[in-house]
Amino acid sequence: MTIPMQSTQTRTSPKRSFGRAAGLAALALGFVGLACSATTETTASEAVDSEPAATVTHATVGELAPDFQLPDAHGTNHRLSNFRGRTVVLEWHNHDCPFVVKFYSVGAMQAMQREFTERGVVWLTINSSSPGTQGYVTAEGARELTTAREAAPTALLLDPDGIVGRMYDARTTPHMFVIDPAGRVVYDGAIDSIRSSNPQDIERAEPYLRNAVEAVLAGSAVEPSKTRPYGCSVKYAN
Amino acid sequence: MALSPCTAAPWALLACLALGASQESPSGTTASEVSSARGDGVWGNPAAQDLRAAPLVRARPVAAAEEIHPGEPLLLGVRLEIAPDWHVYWENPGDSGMPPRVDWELPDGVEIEGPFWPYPRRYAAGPLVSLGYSRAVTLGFRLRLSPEAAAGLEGVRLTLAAKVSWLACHDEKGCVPGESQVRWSAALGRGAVDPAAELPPELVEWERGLPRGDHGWEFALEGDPAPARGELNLLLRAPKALAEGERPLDFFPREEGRFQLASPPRFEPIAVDGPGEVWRMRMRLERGVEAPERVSGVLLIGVAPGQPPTAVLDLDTHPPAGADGTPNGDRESPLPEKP
Repeated sequence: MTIPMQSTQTRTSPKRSFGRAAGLAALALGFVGLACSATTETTASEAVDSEPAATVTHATVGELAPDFQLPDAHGTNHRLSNFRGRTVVLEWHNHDCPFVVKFYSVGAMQAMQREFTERGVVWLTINSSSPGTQGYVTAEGARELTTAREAAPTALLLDPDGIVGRMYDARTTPHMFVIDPAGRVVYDGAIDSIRSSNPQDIERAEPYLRNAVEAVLAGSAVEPSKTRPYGCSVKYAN
Repeated sequence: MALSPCTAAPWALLACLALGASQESPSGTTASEVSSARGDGVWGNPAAQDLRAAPLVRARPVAAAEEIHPGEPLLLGVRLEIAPDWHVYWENPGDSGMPPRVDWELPDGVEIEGPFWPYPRRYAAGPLVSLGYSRAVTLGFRLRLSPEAAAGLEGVRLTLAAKVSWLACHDEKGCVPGESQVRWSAALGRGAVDPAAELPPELVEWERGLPRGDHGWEFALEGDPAPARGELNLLLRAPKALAEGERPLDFFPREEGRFQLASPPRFEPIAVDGPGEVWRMRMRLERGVEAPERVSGVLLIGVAPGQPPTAVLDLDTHPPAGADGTPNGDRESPLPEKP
């Protein structure tokens, strides 16, 4: 059932990614020998042979990620447990926040979204801003944002009640989580190591999120697995 | 990777044009008072655009004296005046945000210590808590000019410059980073410093808010009895009984990410100890985080949360040993010795 995305070499440098050919080859090998199908990212939730995670209500590194279902900007529902068998990235997001703008304005977030989704990772951008607060978007606004910024998540999910945000204790935008193919939280924290809103700091920061995804794809341990996220506060309802 | 928002949907065209018209140099090189973030149009942050004409934060220097005496410390503050309903952050910003920074350009022979932070207040929004300041705050620094460098400055004023940068946030409007340059200069002073010289009001206010190390309180982790799961207990021993109605009101930890700020500490009196008294402080740890071996932070003593505190204490369970053996002996107070 699981489709491990195994690297053919040990990662030594966190900086650069697989060549596209290697990534596609791994993807092809992964699909060969499938026993049961995994859902694609655009279909509505299908019944999938996954462990029930209904009792998990907090995100704890090393444990099963709390399951949730949220609509995307096109009205399609996505359930986290349907992505069991794939690496999942959760990106808490607020398009107005200068720490989010730091990554989007220079294309750094979009590049990671594109690169990792092409390698089979599921990337879910989540907006937990309450209606009336800064950063809240309607479905239409969300679609326009995605197009305008050439963002490439698997889906942009709308969580205006903040239920999923609170379950994950999402504090800031950005706040990143990585969930491994077994459904466990393996990273919770900052996107990188330099707390600033200056895009020039991206290159010299330790890329925590990138490194975490690479580690999961390579089957190695994520280190660090928990860091202090930085950014603007998530705008929950009071 | 080059991105072209101007190829986006038609609705974004206006925003795209706005973006093109207001291209800024990369953050860190502008001297403007307002946001240097990419805050226009399709990239968001309309708050930055609206408020471009009125800066959210103004920074200016405020010194204890107009002269600097070689070898003698001088208090020099950087005052941040903040637009209504916006706030900036303390050294531990809390669940989000970022503390302000002052990056000094110092000539040879000039040393500066700080910032010395006044105590913050809590800003709660939903389940999240920030620690910071609104309306105004002065960040204190202690400046020393060596006699050798002073000799080299014979007849010339000492001039210092700093880049001040901050993040200003509003509960509804979001956050806007900003920066500005401040410059300060002073003539060289002759003879002794006048100990009776009055501080300007901004520094009087700063001094009142400054955590004091010279308080004689003891502060220790309480291991026995063991605290409840997910909690940490500390003991506070006051050298003298508190006044009628006075009690510990709040504690702000310096360490980020250790304690749940959404659950303020709980205080309970547990014993009278000679002329003094002992209190227990219960803190909730962040989920999944271990108890620390050392706790450092700022304790407020007072009569009621809404009123100014009667004492602001700098506490550390493991203070660096001072030459005189006092707690926090090494964390020198920026204030002159009281006679």
